[in-house]
Amino acid sequence: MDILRNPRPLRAAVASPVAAPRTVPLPREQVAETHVVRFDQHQRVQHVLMMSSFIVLALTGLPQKFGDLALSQWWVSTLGGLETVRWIHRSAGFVMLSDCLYHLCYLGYRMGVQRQLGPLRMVPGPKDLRDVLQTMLHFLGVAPEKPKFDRFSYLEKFDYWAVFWGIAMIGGSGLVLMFPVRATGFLPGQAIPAALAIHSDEAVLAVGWILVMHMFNAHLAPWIFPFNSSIFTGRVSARRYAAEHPLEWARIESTGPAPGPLPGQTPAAEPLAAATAQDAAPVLRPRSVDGQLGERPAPRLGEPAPTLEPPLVGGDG
Amino acid sequence: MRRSSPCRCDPFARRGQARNRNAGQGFRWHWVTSALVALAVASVAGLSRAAAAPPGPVAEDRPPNGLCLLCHSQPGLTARTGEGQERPITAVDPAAFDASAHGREGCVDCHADQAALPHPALASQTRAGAIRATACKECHAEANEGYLDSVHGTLVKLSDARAPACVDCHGDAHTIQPLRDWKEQERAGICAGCHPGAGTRFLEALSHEAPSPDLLPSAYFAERFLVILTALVLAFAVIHVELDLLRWLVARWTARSGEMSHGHSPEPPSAAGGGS
Repeated sequence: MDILRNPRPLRAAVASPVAAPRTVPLPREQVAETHVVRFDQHQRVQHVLMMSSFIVLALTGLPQKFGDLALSQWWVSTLGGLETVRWIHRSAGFVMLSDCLYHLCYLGYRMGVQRQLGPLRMVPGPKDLRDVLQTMLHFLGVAPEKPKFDRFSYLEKFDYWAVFWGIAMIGGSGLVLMFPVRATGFLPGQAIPAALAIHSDEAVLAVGWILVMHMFNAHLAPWIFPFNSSIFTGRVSARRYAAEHPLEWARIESTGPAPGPLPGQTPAAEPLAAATAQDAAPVLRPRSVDGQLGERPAPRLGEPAPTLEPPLVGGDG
Repeated sequence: MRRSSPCRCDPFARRGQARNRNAGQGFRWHWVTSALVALAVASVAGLSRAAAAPPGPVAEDRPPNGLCLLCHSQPGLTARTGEGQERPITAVDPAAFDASAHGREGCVDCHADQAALPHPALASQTRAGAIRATACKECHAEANEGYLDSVHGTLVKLSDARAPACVDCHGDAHTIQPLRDWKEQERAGICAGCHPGAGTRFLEALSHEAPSPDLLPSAYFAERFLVILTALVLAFAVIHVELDLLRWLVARWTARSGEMSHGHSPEPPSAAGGGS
């Protein structure tokens, strides 16, 4: 892991956990070109659906909230009038809710059928609070080191759960607004103005968050610009993985370079040499998909995690 | 309130008989003569000054309702529009008007631009424009604001053809009854005109007043909560991004000042990973 020991001021902290014992160190070039599969195909499709429906919803919803603006009036009339805009908005909402169901089924399948506990790494723990604090102190120059993240950093966890919160709030209130008469069949009448307030205010919060945090961390940050493609390709270079998710990277490293077959993939006869078909550049076989780390059997529900592996959920400061 | 007779020529032509007649020959009935006499008398009392004055509070100078009602209590009268069409004028039942919630108002309190005779033609307006120009808001300003803030107001602002005007729900302003005199069933019936199946519980769905802890508490507290949440979350986001960027700049500057012997230093990763 020489490549990670380069004298870089901000990376010094990151390099140490990666120096986990390795029996056969990889040549430098290979490490540099190794990638980790961070998102499987379902997750990539889910993100594309979420992203596209979110953009359409924002572009058709905000003009309704800010109907006083000449820009909104122009945009609505350009799209063909309010009724058209409303149906576009509702269709995109349907896509987003379907995407949410898709994700829930996917989670159910991963955890219930495949018995993988990987998704549970998304559950926040006390370490995330410590990480927030340490990040702030690091930003201010007080703490010399950044926190070492596991599979998901606190920001990624926040983003993920914020979508759940947002879908529940905006989707629920949106259905009330779409069927106001039916909603008053089982809700008090004042639920409708409340739903309107929730729907529009929560939407502004979501759009604001995406515009500030997501645009910066996925696009505008100088170390990301122009964009972070991993949610579309599923892959993250080993170098970046080691820097951004050192705890998980250490776990990947300690499992050695020859993982067992991954769920849903055909086992590769020569794991080290096998490159996936779409890879033009020579890469090592993807060595990690969420929750499937190395040759050891995946932790099963109801069983203690293997001792070598850090606890799945937080706790490992 | 819809002004139905934008009339540029002869406002006193009787429907049917006026069709084959020149515009200038309509003054052949005894009540029309009476109207002209009354007009002459009224002009002595200052009607002409009132007509010339800009619309607004006309307290003393406004023409008495009886003058307007000389014509506007006669169902079946038509007026000719600027385009030459015959259109029925708005006919008001004086007894019903007196008994209405507006019974003490003067005609020109609402129809300020119709004080002059002959009446000025109304500019052709889109429906949404007509709704915004409504006279109701002169007295019911707060209700009008609440209306524009509601879902119905969104329809108005974005020029939707289905936007309900005041009178669509509240009824004709000349016969309108105070809200307290309405039965809930009657009110729900009006909602059901556009929202089939609306029951009395649907009535709470729309208010012309801003939510408060007493009125629509759920909407009030939901809004308060979300405003605070939005402020906190976005403040966190902005501060986080700014500090992240600042830390990167500092590190970059530090690295550059010390890198003369080291060569280029690659970029540091984001503090929180790139997936956010």
